[in-house]
Amino acid sequence: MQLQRNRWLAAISLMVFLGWAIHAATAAAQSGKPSYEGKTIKVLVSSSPGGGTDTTARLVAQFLPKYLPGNPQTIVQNMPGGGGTIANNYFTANGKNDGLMLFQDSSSGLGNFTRGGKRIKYDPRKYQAIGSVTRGGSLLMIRKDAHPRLSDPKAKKVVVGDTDGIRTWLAMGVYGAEFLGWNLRFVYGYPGTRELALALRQGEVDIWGTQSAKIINEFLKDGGFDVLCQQEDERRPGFSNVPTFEERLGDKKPKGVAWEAYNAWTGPNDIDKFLVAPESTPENLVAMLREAFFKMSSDEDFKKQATQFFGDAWRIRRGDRTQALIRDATTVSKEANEYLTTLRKKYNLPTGEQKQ
Amino acid sequence: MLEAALDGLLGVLALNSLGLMCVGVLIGSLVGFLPGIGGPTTLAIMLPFVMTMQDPMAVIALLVGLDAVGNTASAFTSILISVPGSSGSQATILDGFAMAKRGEAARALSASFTASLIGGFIGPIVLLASLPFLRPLVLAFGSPEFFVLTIWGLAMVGVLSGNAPVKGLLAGIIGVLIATVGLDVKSGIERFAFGEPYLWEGISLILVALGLFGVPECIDLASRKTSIAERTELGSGFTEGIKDVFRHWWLTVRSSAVGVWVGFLPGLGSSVADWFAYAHAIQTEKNPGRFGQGDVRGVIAPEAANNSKEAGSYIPTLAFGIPGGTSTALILTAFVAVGIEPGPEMLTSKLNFTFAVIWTLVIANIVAVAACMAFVKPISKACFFPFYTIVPLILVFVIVGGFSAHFSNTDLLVLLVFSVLGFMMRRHGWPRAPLLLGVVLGAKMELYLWLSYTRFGLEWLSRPGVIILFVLVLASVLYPVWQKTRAAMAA
Repeated sequence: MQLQRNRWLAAISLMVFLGWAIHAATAAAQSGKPSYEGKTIKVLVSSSPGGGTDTTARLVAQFLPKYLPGNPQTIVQNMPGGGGTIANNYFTANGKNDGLMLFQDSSSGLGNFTRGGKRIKYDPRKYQAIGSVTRGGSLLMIRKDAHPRLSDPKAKKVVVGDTDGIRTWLAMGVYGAEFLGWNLRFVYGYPGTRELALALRQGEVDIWGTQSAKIINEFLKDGGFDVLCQQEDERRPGFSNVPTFEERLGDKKPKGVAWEAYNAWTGPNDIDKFLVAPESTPENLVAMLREAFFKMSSDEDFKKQATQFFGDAWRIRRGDRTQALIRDATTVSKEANEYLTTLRKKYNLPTGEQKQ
Repeated sequence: MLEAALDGLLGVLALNSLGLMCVGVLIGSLVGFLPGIGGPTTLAIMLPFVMTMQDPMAVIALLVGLDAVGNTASAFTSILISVPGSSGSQATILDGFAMAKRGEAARALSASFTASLIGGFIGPIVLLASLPFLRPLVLAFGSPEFFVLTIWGLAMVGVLSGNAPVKGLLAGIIGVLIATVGLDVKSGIERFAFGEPYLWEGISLILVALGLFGVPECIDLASRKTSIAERTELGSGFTEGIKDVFRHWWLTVRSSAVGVWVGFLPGLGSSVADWFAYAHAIQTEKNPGRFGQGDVRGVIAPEAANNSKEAGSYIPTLAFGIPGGTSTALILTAFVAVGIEPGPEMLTSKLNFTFAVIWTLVIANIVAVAACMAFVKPISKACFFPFYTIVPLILVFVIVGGFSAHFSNTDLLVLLVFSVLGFMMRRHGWPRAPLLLGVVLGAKMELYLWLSYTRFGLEWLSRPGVIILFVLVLASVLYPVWQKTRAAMAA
């Protein structure tokens, strides 16, 4: 009797153990596939609220979770300053490999990196690109009352306003001054898009550039502003009467190192707003995030809101393509870099060599 | 215009919109009550949900309702436990907490809410009255004018220093220096960060405020082994507080006007409206020596201003799509997502949306104040809790609020540093308000000076707006001196 009872006990124990083992094995197998269930992704943004980078980040934060397993929550944290330097440095120092911190940056961060300097403590080539949103090439706006002074060297200088003196569209201004004789002066330090928009309306600055067709059209509707040129290989839809900057240059278009340097400065423009994960993020997580980003771009609500914010010219680039573009945009020859440094110094724009 | 006004009113009074407005008011009030969790954080969290809504009126009711009332409920913690619930209720601590110590917490709270209610009415009225000339008004202020306004703010350091002007000035300078810590926003150059990534963003204002004002009061309570209120009766302060606001109706109106004025200037920052109003009250009211000792006027002025500034911040937002601050920047993003396009159309074909904003500001304030008034008496009793109950409670608020700055353990270390500083300042008679004001204004002062000089050279000094503002600053600084001299001569 006792022996029979012991056998039953042993059998039950064995079954319980087997059941537990099977459950543990299943859980382990399932855990190989990442899931965001119950988790929160922080999207760090390199600009202040309200501008293009911030808007892109919020759109992504809203729709990306829909296509991620587990449908995580998202929060957006703004960290403006230094043309993206602050946020980039912070992301590099604090980003972990758990896929819970992503970074929305813009071409400025790449421009700052290329320019170099002691304060640059990040390398965007090491980021894992998830995808990017581009809004078409930048357009350069000018106040109508400043237009007559643009080509008159004896007149008061036309003021170009910028955030950090590194934006890709600024290259049109600098090269316009250098090769077209535009009568320009550059002022940087405005905190963001909204402050520059106000400054342009007030006349505190006379020229400003942006990729946002929406903002441009608002200004054109207001009256009192012209679009000088655009930074694209071909004229954007909706701005077919605005010459490209290359068309404006005509036979004064520089060659050799000068033009290589121009392309190096404006190259990041093709990337525009991009989302990245830290360098150490595992491949399977990166693949999942990239897939979700791409699926997000087909979401009808996403498309509707993106068009509302950016106009019709926006498009998505996949993560691997974005990665390649980042590599290309940040690969600049020493000669081109030196040329740009000299040019920036000439027009009192910040170089990477400011003393700490 | 009448039709647009009616359309806007009906839009926000629709059952769906009204319900969402109440939800927004509830959330906004809770957020205001809890230190460290600001309106912008809450708006950012709600944005993804709001952007999928179809009804623009409902979006206005929810977001504007949430934003409009954040500073109302924040008076609870400012007055009762000397912990600012939001950046708009910092100045309220100076007199509000002193009143609570005298057993007049109910009076301070009811005065605060009544002033908030009136400020919340006057703000939208000014917004409505300024509709015809919104755009030229916003365009009149450039970087030089903003710089002079920050100087005006710093000139208040003298006012806030009481009987220790030199100490106050030094405290203000220290505050401005603290504001330079971090990476320079123009160039990304590191300043006083010593290579620490935590300091790259600068020192959080929340941590400075909580450290300077929250913890030192806890230490004081624990060392005295007493409750917050030094008297044992609640008194009949509730109705007295309401009467105070009407007794000082002209101060309430003027402070509300100051709030709208500060709110409508994009770039000045919403955390200075209460300080401007407080300093204005000291400079213009009789017996200014009573401020800081528990004078109800020191509660009325900042609380009226911090509510009216919300309406002011919508002026540049609606006129140009240029947000007055972080909260309105987020609200603007939601507006665009649901098809509300800020700009000239908001004053013409889409005037009904503008009126919806105005009506929401009014109605949300009424709802929030009514809700807060209902809790005045029960919550005021916290002033009589023994120190061993109230001190741990305050410390929990302070620590949770401080941790919410960056959700980092280093936040608590920084909080400790400022707590020690605040305690030492309190102990040795150094005014703390000027230091806080220096931190608030320092970064903006530097930015606008840079832009003014880089853009205009020294010509910025000859701009008409700058000259007018400098004269006003001088007048505001010299007027109290002249008053004192006149009083001394009369004596």
